[in-house]
Amino acid sequence: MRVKAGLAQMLKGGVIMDVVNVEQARIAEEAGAVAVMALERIPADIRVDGGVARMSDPKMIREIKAAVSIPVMAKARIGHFVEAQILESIEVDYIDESEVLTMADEDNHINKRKFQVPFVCGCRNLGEALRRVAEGAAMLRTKGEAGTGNVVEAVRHARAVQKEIRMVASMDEDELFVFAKQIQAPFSLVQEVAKNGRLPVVNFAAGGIATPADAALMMQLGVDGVFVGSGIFKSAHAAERAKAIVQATTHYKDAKILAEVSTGLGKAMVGVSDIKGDAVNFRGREGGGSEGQIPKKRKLEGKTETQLYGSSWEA
Amino acid sequence: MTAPVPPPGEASVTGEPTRRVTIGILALQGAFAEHSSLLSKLGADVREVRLPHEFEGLDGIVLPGGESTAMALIGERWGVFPRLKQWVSEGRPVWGTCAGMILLSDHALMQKKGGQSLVGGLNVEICRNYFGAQTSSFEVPLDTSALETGSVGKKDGGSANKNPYPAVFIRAPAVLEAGPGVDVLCKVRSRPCNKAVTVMKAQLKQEEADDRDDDTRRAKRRRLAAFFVEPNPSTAAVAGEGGGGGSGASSGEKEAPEVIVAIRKGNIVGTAFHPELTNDSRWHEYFVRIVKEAVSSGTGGVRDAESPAKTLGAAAAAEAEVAVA
Repeated sequence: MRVKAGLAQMLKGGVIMDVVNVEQARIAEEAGAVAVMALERIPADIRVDGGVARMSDPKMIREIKAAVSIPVMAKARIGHFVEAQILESIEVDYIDESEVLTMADEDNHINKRKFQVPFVCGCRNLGEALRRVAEGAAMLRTKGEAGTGNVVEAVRHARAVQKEIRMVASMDEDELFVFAKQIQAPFSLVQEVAKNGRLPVVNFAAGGIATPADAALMMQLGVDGVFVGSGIFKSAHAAERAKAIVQATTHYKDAKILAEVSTGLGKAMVGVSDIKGDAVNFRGREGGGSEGQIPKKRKLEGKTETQLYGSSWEA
Repeated sequence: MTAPVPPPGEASVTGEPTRRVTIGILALQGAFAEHSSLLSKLGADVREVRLPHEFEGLDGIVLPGGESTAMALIGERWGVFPRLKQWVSEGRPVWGTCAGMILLSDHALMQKKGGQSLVGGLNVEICRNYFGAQTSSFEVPLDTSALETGSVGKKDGGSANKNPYPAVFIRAPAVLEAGPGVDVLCKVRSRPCNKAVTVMKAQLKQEEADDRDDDTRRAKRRRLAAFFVEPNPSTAAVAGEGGGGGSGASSGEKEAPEVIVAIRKGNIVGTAFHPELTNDSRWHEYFVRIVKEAVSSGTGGVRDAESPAKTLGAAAAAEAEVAVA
């Protein structure tokens, strides 16, 4: 686990960029990206085109691996462990079990502990973050809402995680059991967060970052680094914008530098302003059979401990 | 080795009060927070460095693990690299881990297309991602008795691996050749990854095409050829080097070429692995001692790196200082 989570620690303070071909991968590397995410279509296009979004062609991933010296990540569908096996066999450096692709299993995520290659997963809150860590994720990212160029969901998720970490860190140990149950996370991980005051693994921002200011905002909200997807290659001057976002992620507290790198970047991606009204909802996708919703409580008919700790949920 | 560093204000062997040292961590990108917390625990004042003017008042600098290409590109814009070059040329203490070690090397293989900027200072040839992709990253117990004796192989064999150091290698580089004056502190046995083999074969071809046929060139060709003794397996097998004999290496791994993973030249230290990912602070203590020596010698200390005896002496002096505390 130290080796798996270690690579994520090396990526901290950096920007990971979505790319769909060798040319874009080279632009990302030249801009100072710490890694690239190789995928067939960027999230903005998946939103518009619809259809089933799947793992990319290994040929394209291999070509990108050969073209750049930085780590190469690739996406597998939620629960699609064979896509993950394929990605591991072609030696990608990280797998993103991603809600942007169509779900392959609406109940179960990939058992990431079975793999040598580390995984990154999306989260909206502390409970979801720790559920993914329990499954073996070595890195987290906010889900945000990919392909919208709208940072609002990423902010919501980063704030939710931070707020819940602060809550749990200030709790009495006696209160952790019920809190773990409420957020549907393993008690041992909740205990670890309470003790250390932080997540067990690195947490990046993702899903809607489109400008240097967006990247710096997320960094100031306490994330460890930034994923940028559609924000770069759906903008007017991709290379310049990519460089600017990299600088903004390093110098996120220096408003003078932020002003300088934000200057004259041309048109940003148009994006989606009404996320709630949009037909596509990537962020709601989580295993558990109910799109991440907590199941309805059944009426308690006794006061046994068993009922308190689990059997009160609908089967 | 495990003795605590003296707290601020304690008298050193020279009778002068030891002042708290200030160590800067290059915070352009990477695992700088991890270094920061380990060094703070050892009693150093730690500061994050992102711009040239932030070098002011520092006694030592750490270049953390991360992506060396990204650090080079981010630092370029604000003149951080020229400032680092100046720092290194003044012989002041600097320690690079993984990506940081690449930046401190004079020659690097497997760079991105078009190359990348390096700070330089260590006359070594380093190969980026020598061991391969993330699936080939590993943790191995390393014999670090060299931290006390100056270089590998200068210890009593029996006690060598008594307290090995948990070295974490992540997409790590390896030094293929160390030039004169570079002390080798640790080695491992491992085959290069396929991508590294391709690059090294291309280099060998280039060397062979060269008409000049002097001793240096023949030695270089021999050295490169040693990496291709057998058909290369896709995953690099790794064994911790017990110093000279390769204790702990299984029979198959003994055939694998030996590469250097920790070096020191004067006040420059390079480690291919990540001491910042462990709770074992021996390497951080080692660097803090180097910084303290440099501060007390007044100059930033350009020491004669070619004398192992001197290294040994300096290490002993540092031990003495710790003992007084």
